[in-house]
Amino acid sequence: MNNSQFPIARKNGLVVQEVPNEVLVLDLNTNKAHCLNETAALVWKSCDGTRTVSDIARHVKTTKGGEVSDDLVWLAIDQLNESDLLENSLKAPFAGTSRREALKKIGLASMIALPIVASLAAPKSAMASSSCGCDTVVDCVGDCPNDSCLDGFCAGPVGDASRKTSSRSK
Amino acid sequence: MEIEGSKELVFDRSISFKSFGLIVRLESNRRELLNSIEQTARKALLDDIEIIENVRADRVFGIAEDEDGYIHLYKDGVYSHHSSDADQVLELFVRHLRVFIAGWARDTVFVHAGVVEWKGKAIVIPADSGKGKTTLVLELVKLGAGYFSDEYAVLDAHGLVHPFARDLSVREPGRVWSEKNGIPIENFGGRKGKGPVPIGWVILAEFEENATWEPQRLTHGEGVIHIVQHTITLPEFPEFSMKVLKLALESAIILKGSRGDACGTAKNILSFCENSLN
Repeated sequence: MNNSQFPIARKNGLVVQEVPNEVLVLDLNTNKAHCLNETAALVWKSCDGTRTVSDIARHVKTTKGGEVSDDLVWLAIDQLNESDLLENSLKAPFAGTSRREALKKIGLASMIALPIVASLAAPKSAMASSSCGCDTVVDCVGDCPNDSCLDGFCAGPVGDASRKTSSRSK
Repeated sequence: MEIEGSKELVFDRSISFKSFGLIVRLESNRRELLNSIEQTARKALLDDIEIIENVRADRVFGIAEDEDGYIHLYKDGVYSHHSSDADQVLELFVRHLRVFIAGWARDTVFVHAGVVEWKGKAIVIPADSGKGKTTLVLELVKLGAGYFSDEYAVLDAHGLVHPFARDLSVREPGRVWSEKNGIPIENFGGRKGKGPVPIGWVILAEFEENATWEPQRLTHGEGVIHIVQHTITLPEFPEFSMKVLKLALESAIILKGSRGDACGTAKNILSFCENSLN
């Protein structure tokens, strides 16, 4: 396991909000919103490019108390990496085990809450999150008219032949 | 804009108004049509418009009738749609107008959600169209909650929710949904709620056949990222939106789960809200 790597938290293109025991991150590049629990947030904030994984584990231990292994920090880094929240891509060395297996193993031994990064997609445009907005007619379901997707919106029957005009304001 | 081989429409009548900090100009070539557009805009924005004069507009909508009776819609001078059915064009205009206001409003965050008021706090139900938002809102109103909206949670800079009590878009077999055939809440024996109020509860409920409402409680942060998905203002004003959502959910209880029929779920929700107040 290469614990001498120096993870760096990404700063650009993010909107960060702190709430009690959590950190919220909106990624403007990927249009994703992330919620980091206290442990994940602490690891993320510790990724300043001067600390190794082992240093971060010691830092988390000092801040939170209890036993903190390098594996627990790797678990956080693995999720931060997957969420694109690190400058440098690091691969978690779980020695042939899946994250789920590693999580089980670390969880049993850990005295602090396991790091969790929950992520959801954010809307890319106002239209995308609006009522009855659509890209194609297949998006027009439920209580929206479902005959056509017209100019970004689900619409009723459209029967007119194409007819072009131009406009001029006076 | 000139299109080869096209007919030219001259927009020689206009009116401008301000709504949610944005200035919109409506243009037309017929006085009656302009009146009709203005009335449509008033209804769409629940009369929250102030007529103003001679200012630069943030958006211009042009609706004109050609010599053959076709109605044409333009956005900022760019052709959008035409039809011989004026209602269809006005319907499209309303949706464009609403999305523009909701997406670019100043000092306000629009969340796609149903909202009712219960004992001075808002119950917010964020959801996409067709996910039973209106049905659940209606059941809550029938049980005594005040109607705020079946479309938007309108949040101010302090995170308080304001009413946006448009007529309900009730879905019925054989009925084509449209803005103009919405049904006033009073027709269901309901009442409009008074605001602004703080958010007390956020209900993230997805309909599932025969499901029982046994929600899990989410943290403040988890609640925010769930509501982010439905926040229309977010792409244009991400920092402001995140700040407002954080504030708005500060003392809210956030519940997530599958729900069965709306009537039973509404009873369970209000019972939970009532207990959490005590």
